Amino acid sequence: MAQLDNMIHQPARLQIMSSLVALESGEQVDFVHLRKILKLTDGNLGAHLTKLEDAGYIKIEKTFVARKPRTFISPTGKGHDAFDEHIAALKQIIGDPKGG
Amino acid sequence: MDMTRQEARDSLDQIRAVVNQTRRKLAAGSTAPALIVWGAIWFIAYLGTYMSYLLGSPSYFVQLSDHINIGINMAGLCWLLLIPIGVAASWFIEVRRAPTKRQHNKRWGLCFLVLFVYAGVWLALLRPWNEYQMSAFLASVPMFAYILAGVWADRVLLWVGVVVTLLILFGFFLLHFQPLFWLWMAVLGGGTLAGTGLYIRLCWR
Repeated sequence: MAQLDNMIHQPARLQIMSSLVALESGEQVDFVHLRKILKLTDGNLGAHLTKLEDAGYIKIEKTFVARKPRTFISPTGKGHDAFDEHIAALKQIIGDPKGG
Repeated sequence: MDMTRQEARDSLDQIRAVVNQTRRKLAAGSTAPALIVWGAIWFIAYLGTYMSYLLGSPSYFVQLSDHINIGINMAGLCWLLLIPIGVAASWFIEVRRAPTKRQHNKRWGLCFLVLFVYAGVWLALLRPWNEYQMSAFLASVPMFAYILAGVWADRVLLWVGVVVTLLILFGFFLLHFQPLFWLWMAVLGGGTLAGTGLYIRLCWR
């Protein structure tokens, strides 16, 4: 029986994880673009990303592109699994037979 | 953690919306500027071709050695200069401005490569008898890609692909062997690429 994930359940983190699972395999999204997509503030997004990183759900990579610092974010395997289980739990609640 | 059915349904709807929104915005991030750049290049290059035909297609010769003398007309020179600019600009957009960093995903690159290779294969097999036929054919290739993209992503692209293909045919059959054909191709091809770039930039964001 799938369980709702407390870490992902929070609205802002649910949006972040939803956005990250939309990436192709091996793809990393730029912090600034993620902030624009989700319409969150720098501080708010940064704080939630730190929590997700601490939980092992995402990977944050700081790098330089043309001598300018850029931060790229991608979901980890653990993050994908946790998100899938959260979705399965939501589907169970609404009575979807594919809820796992 | 307790959750009602309605809350769970709302949560799933929200997830679906964010996933779709993310895919569109990321696609718009690097596709839109690249289309605008190639639209401008297409327009300038065909405008150069049009001017070249108006001026009687003057040719320029470059003496590389005593025995090697390369001749190129103004139209060819336009394309020769502009294509490397387009490639460099596309590289700049992808590396510096792209919203994502792709480590393993080469699917898009492969799609474009397949499209270009097949366009080359069809050109080699069908052997266009003149530059009008070749240009009309090459202009129809991105429209073919638009229709495919429209089937998967956005119906607007599908209809743009269909309408522009019909307009290419119209230009090909009605303006054949007339310099105006090149102006038609400049406005139609360049305008379509840049226009859809702007559309994606404004509507997919």
